[in-house]
Amino acid sequence: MIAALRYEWCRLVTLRSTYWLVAASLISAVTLSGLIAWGFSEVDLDTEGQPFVMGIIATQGGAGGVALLIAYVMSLFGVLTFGHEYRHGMIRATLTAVPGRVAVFAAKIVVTALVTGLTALLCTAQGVLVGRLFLRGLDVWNDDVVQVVAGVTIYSALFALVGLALAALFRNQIAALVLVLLVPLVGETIVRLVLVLPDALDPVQGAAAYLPFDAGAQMYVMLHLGDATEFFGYVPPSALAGGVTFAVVTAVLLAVAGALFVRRDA
Amino acid sequence: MAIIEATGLSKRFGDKLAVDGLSFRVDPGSVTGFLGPNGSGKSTTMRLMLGLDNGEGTTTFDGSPFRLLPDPMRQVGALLEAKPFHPTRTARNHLRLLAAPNRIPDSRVDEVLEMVGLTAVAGGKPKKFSLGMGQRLGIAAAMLGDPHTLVLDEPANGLDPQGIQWLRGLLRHLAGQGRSVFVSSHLLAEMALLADRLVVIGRGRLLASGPVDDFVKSSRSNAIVLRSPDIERLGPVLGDRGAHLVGGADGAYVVTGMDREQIGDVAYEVGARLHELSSREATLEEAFLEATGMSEEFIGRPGALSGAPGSYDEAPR
Repeated sequence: MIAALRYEWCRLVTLRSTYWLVAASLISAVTLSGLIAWGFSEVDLDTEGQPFVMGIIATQGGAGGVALLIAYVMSLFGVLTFGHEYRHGMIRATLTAVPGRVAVFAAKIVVTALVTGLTALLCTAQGVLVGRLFLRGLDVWNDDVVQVVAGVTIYSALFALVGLALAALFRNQIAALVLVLLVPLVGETIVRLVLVLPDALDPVQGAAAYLPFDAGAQMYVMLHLGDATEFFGYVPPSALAGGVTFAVVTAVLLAVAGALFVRRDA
Repeated sequence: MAIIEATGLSKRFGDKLAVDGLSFRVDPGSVTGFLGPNGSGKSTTMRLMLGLDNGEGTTTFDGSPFRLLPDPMRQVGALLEAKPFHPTRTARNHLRLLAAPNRIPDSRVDEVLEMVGLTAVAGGKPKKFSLGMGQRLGIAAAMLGDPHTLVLDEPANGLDPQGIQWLRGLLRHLAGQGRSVFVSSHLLAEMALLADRLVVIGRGRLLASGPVDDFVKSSRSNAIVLRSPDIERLGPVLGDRGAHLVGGADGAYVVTGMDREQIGDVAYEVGARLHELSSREATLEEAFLEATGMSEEFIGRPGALSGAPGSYDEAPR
């Protein structure tokens, strides 16, 4: 396993895309957080609203229900982790350097989760600092903000692992990339509409709360729309339940991808 | 020094049996050539040997399967395909990447780059490499761990004549040090100069295995060339005693079924003059074509494109 970890780490640090993706994430996060904080700088915030604004700034809008940009960038990172192996025929070189397939797969999971989680943490933490810079006197490290930072970190790492699993499943980075972008942005929306609109599906409307990407987002979303969604027959899960849902789906995808990776020809 | 022992290797792709119960052995201190027509299963066999394809059978390197070897690149160096690298990762970084899990120091990376003549482009991106340069980088990767065994699939692909000569010298030198070298190639003239032993396959099955000389000597193309002004008297007697004569346009006859001494004795017996009595040895190519004649997977038909260059048919009038 140590050999596989050494390989995976060396693989990452000798690729330009690693630096591009991390740098792009940090720069876009600083820029967006700064713009949002600037927008709030003239608003007189009461104590109750401060954590929410801080969350919005730290997540570049994600805490307000907007798609979490950093998670999508990190999913690209996950896709490339396996995509490069198949696109450039590296997989055979990889497996002659490290023949243990389980170790190779596990090392990719560990390194991807750590790097993407750390990048997301930095992107969110800098958002908190930017918020404090623009909005002096704002309560920064309250429990809600800490939960948002932790939620974004975990969500982004899981999102990246979904990308990794899809690239390993399809052995094609374009297919994986399309899926990892379209399923959360379009796919889940369509499924939710199908579930909540026809009366015939009333008995299973509750399933709309557990669409994995949306459920996972409850780990950092601070805008609670319980009343609004209850009208459609479901209530979003708690942060814990949503996070567990997303983690289980990710784990299942990884398990299937890992089993196929071990059995398939390289 | 490692003995490669392949036993019962089989691989099926759908309905097609690509490799069928293949068993052979590669001994240290020799270059063993792996020959077979296109699509005969050479590359699949090599992938099976290294555990890259899942199939039946086992391959051991000094008793251990590849996947169980500690620091495998220190024991088995492999080249399996042209250009197996990320296009923007530099040549040096590509080798550092492979060296890292096998505890091979970076100083060895520079050594192998120099050995294959790529020092000048060590910081260059492989996307700009020619096929030959890519092949040299692949050979450098195989040599990275200074392994006692090499498994090389078509290593001469893309190399220029100087490169092929260099590769031949390198592999002979490595075998001379007692290493096991298992190398596939479709360049038969090159293999005749390089290999000590052969494993020949056709349609995934073993056709021959053993020393190159034995394989060539087994060919029916080995014959005696006979030229005699008294052939009308000598020919029937040779025929009666089991020889087979095929006449050539220039008066020379190719005789099989008897050796030179026997023909000379018969000629003396019947009082026939001999103007030529010489051995004609088969080439590796002739022996290979004879051995694999019925085993080609893809057979071209020169006349299929009527009137096209190389066609044996007459062009339509």
